[in-house]
Amino acid sequence: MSARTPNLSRPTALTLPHVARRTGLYVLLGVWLAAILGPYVVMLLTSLTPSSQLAAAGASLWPGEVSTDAYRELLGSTPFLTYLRNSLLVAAVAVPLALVCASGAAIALSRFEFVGRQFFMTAVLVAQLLPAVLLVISLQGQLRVLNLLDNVLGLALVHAAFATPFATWLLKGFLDSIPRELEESGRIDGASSWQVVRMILLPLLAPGMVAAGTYIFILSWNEFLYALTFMQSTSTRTLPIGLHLFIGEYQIRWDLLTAGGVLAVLPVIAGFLIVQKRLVAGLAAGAVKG
Amino acid sequence: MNARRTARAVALSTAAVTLMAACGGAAADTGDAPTTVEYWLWQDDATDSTWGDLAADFNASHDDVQVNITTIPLEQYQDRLLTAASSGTGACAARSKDWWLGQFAPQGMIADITEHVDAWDGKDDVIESLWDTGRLPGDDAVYMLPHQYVTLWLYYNKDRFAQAGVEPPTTQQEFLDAAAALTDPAAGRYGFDVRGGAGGQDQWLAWMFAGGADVVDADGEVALTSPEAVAANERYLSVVTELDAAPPGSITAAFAPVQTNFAAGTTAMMIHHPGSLNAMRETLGDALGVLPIPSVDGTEPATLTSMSGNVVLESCQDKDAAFEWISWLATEEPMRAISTSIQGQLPVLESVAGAEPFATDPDLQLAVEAARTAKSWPALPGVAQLAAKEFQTQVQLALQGDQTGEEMLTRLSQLLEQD
Amino acid sequence: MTMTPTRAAGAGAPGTRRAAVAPAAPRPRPRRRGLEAYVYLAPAIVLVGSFAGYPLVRSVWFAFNEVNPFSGVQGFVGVQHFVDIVTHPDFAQIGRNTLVWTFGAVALQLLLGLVGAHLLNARFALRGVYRGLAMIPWATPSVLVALMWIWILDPNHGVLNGALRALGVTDRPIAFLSESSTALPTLVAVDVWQGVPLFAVMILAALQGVAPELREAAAMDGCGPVGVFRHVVLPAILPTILITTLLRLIWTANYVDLVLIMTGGGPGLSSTTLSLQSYVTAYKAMDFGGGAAYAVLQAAVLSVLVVLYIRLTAKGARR
Repeated sequence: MSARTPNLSRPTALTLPHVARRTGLYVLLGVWLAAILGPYVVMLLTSLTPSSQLAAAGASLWPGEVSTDAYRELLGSTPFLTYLRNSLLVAAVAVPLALVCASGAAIALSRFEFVGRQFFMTAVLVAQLLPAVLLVISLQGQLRVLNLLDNVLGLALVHAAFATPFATWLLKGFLDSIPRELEESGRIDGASSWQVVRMILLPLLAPGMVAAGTYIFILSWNEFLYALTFMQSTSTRTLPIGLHLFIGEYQIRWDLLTAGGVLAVLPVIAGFLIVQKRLVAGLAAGAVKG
Repeated sequence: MNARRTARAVALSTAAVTLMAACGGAAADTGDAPTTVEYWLWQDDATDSTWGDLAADFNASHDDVQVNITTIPLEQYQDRLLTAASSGTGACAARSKDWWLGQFAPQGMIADITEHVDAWDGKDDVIESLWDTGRLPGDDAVYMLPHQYVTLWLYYNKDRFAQAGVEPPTTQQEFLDAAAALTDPAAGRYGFDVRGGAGGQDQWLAWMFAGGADVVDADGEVALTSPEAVAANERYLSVVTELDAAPPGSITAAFAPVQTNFAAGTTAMMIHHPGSLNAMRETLGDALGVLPIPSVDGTEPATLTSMSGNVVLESCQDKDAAFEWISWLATEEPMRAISTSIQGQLPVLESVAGAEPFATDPDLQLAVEAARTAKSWPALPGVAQLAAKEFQTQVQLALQGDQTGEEMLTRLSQLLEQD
Repeated sequence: MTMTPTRAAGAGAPGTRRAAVAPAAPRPRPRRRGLEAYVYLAPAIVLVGSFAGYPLVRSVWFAFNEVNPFSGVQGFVGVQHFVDIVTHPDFAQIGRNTLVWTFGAVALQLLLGLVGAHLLNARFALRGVYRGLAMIPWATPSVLVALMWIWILDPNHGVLNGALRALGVTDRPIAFLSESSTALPTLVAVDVWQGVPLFAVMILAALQGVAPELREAAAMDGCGPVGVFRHVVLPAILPTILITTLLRLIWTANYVDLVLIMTGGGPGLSSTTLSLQSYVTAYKAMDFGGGAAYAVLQAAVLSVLVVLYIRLTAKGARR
């Protein structure tokens, strides 16, 4: 499975180069893990430090006493849970919507020949260029006309539109790597075109959908600029915007801020541990087409 | 061929839309339910409950109008208010600084409340001279209802001064000498925070006014490049560029770290106003001293006065309800409540200003006294942008030595001369 | 869900993949014709067209007009905004910052991602868990990343300054985000921290497509590990590297959140990039036309990269 299989005729266990290589590997892995997890650990420790200790000048990592006051205050007297709910709602709409659109587009681009196909393929790539900073000005006016400002649905539509090009590209690559024999045999057996798509293609597409779906979820969950501009009321704010407000408002309450941070990142960590295998597989098949 | 799929998709999206419209949008009251006024404000101390208590009192005593307050950090306040107003969403009434009046009013963002004010029976209690802070130059229309104002002064830490054997400064040069004497980086002690971040333009302008400079001259021309202005600015910048007397992070600091530093004794002096007096008294106790901002030679005092008032947004559906809330805030009891709280500033009402503690506390007397010779930001359109970003950018460039003080003043002047 | 042997190519069993190393091998591609394609394409066209295509056109239009957020378009000004931008004295610095931010961050992410991909490809216990954890920075909201790092870098209370002082490297705390010499490099470092996982995983996926037989063949021909890398691995993963780098360049150039939250473009202008300037011009100076012009300018420059990429890869097989 690994691509790094050495010459099999040489005993591997105790040769010096091998031990050195393994040690080097573990050292690098350790350093990388520390670099990745370090900030989160600092954040966790800070969130458990009583605020009085934090206000004192000077940095010390370990809290003198562990205190969960910050979490209690965060959940009890701030709209943090509302923000969390809103982020989940937006993602819950954006992910299926974008997946439907991206799957359709990927199927069309991969399996069909039609006028304008080349144009759309280029368009998918060019669409990646679109900066939120440019679009947000116009979108603000559009959403206002549609009465979708300050509304979960409005933001979800924008997120889905923003995520669809890359998801399409990913799924198309994935589809391209699936040979057509199954579909052809399905058609020979008399299945209609739609049935072929529904019963053969879509199930095969499933791992790719996991990769694409994960990407869309991440994009929506993390998205800042559109949410900053479109969601103005406390009842509709998403998590990143809520955290941003905390930063300015409670600049000296790092215990509160870091507690919010810990709670905001836990679902992400859990989710990633679950999907990582399928994600890599999906990316492998989808993105590697280059 | 994909009829089934289309039908399912349509059903799903209809359900989704209905669901989202029902529970995804911001609440809006209609019909017989009381009108809810969305009110935005910033706070110097977000953990203080005074504003929440005021809102609760209002809601308890009013049947037809209810208020819902939202706190936005001052650093982000102007952008968010602008964005919300331009989207037609967000607040109905909002707290505002006089810095922004020159931008908000001509753009049509805030409503002309002259008629509401004329019909209001509390209008005579407002100190007469303060109405101008809510008007545009040369215009009688009222756009902002005054609420709390401040004059800036200098806090100093008596203990630190005593330790270093330094006398409290009465001139700007003495101030600089004191800042240098009180700085000891190895011990983590510094003289003064220059606050190059959000809101820093107020303490800078207070220094400039005290230093004999002006924003506009008698003819209304921008005068920031006058010799007095250049000299005063150089003195201000020298805290960092020559004396290195500001703590790390000072050139991008906003209020919270500045206050934290002074309260912890990291800095020995801070320019601010009565709004933080109660909080500073709590932390520093007897070590707290208050002085007028040093002028050039100890005579002709001057400082900045700044008004925080309340505005009604043009996009508000029910301006009467919004005005009811903001005018209630400017009646005697609520005014006393906010002015004597830990975030309290100077009251705009005669009835409150003439009573305890404003008539008796010596420090507050100092502030009220300073109001006689204080000047404020002129309501030019460029002031809002200066406050939003430009001041920070220009002062940071100057403090880092990337431009001279004169260049900084020239850039700021150009901004203020624009339409 | 049964799988036929030919199906094993894409579903997650990389070792059994029989595809040629170079993905450019031509394959017979019988395609269906007809209008069916449009039906599948329709939802995407409607969604992306309304919420990305149309705003794009409209925003580009704004760039040629004077636009007030309250009263809308006020007048056509042609290329005046662009002229103002390019002749502005600060433009050179903003351009420089943007180049450092974009190319600096991506170059570092590429290098570190390459190393990371090889690490992730090795065999070790709990590799799956490790891979999941490695991706977390990429999946974290930018606000949170900013928050964590602002706290770590804090001059008075932050861990980094505490460590530097304890180790005796400095005696006075370094205000990383408040000094013009360190602000932009710090931002680049944080962006690299956040972006390495993406590169690592993309390159990992490509590495897994490299057939082990080819590596062995090269090893037996006398190539050391470096030779194997240069002659076998690199050509195989190059397409992935190219596309990931291009996408990442575009995303980084457009990434405004981190800069906005951590430094706001300061101190002075030392960390102001084109996209940040676009936002600030639109939402702090209330000049929507000017803000749009900055963004259009950047998009124009980026599209050159896209064109280059398309030229470069068009020599491959038609898909």
